[in-house]
Amino acid sequence: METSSKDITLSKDEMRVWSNLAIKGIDNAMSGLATMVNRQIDIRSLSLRQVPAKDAPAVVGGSDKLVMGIYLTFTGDATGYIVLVHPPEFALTMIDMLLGNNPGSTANIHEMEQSALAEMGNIIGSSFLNAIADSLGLSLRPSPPEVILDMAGAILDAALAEILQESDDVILAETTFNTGDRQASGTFLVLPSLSFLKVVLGSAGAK
Amino acid sequence: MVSKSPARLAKRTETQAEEASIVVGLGEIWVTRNPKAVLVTFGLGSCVAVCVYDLEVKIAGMMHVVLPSGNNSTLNGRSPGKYADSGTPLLIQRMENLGAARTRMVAKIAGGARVVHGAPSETLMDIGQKNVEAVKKALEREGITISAFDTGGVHGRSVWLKTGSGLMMVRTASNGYIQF
Repeated sequence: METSSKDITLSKDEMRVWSNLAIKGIDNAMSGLATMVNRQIDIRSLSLRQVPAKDAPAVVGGSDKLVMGIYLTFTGDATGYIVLVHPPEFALTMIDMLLGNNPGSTANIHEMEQSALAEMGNIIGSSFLNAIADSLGLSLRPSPPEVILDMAGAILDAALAEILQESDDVILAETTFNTGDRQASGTFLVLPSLSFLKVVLGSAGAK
Repeated sequence: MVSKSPARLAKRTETQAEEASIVVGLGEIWVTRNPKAVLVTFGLGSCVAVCVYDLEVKIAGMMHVVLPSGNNSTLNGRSPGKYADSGTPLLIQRMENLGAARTRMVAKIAGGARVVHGAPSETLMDIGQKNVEAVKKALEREGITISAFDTGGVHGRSVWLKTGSGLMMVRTASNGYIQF
């Protein structure tokens, strides 16, 4: 891969430290979700990798694919974005589960459905951040989530703009999950900026 | 090493003559003098598609801007169109290199929406609007007129530019197609 001094480059050790932290965070996020919906959540795949920023939307099905995005920003000792992406039909299934409805009963997304998704984003995002913040003694505060139905590329733009200020590559943590008994799945993306990684790796190294 | 077979070369020439889509990714600049080429960028949120064309020689270019300014940081070649301020002169220069004339160039721009409201820093607050302003300024500096724009709002866009006609087409997730 072509690189330059401006790109994110993590050493093997740094990548290992970040992987361990991210996995810890994702585990905590998924058990938070399991508690919320009172169901078993299976992590179907988990992948941490470095890709050119322009290829990131492909991870969630392509730039112009219509998706339901749940968006959180976080501030504190470091800043960044956390994004949950669902195909619209899976978002409806998630809503059934979150609201305790029978499968297939949610057909539209109004205020109530939107706030259910926001609450899910809240649980997943803050569980993820708490796991990382707690193990490093950092303060990371998530914003209230935004729920957006739009093209995947458009939803990811803001997060990618932050990362592209410092690098042309993104290091993403991608988790796909589903529930044991219902066909719902989603993609949980963590898109850390270079400054976020520096803070996290700095604190991890100091320990 | 595999050498290019004549059949493969022939096929390539054939597709070049047909309508070819060129996808312009995040931070990329593409220029073409194939009159049948369509430049396209998918799923723009806060990003801006800068479309420039010279109808007389049928040369067109598209740039996918992500941020307003690189503050004079050096570009590393992988994302030459990342910043509005440094990318715009490059786009124009590349079109001139193909034979387009600055005096005949016309620009159309689309994007710069506010899909997400929150931002973790002041710099990133309403980045779409900042991108649009920076693109307008950069085009003005280059002496290029904007003949149409579809910017702002809260929805993502996909944008097509037809080299042969200079037509820009915009599709949003909520409204279908609009032509400019």
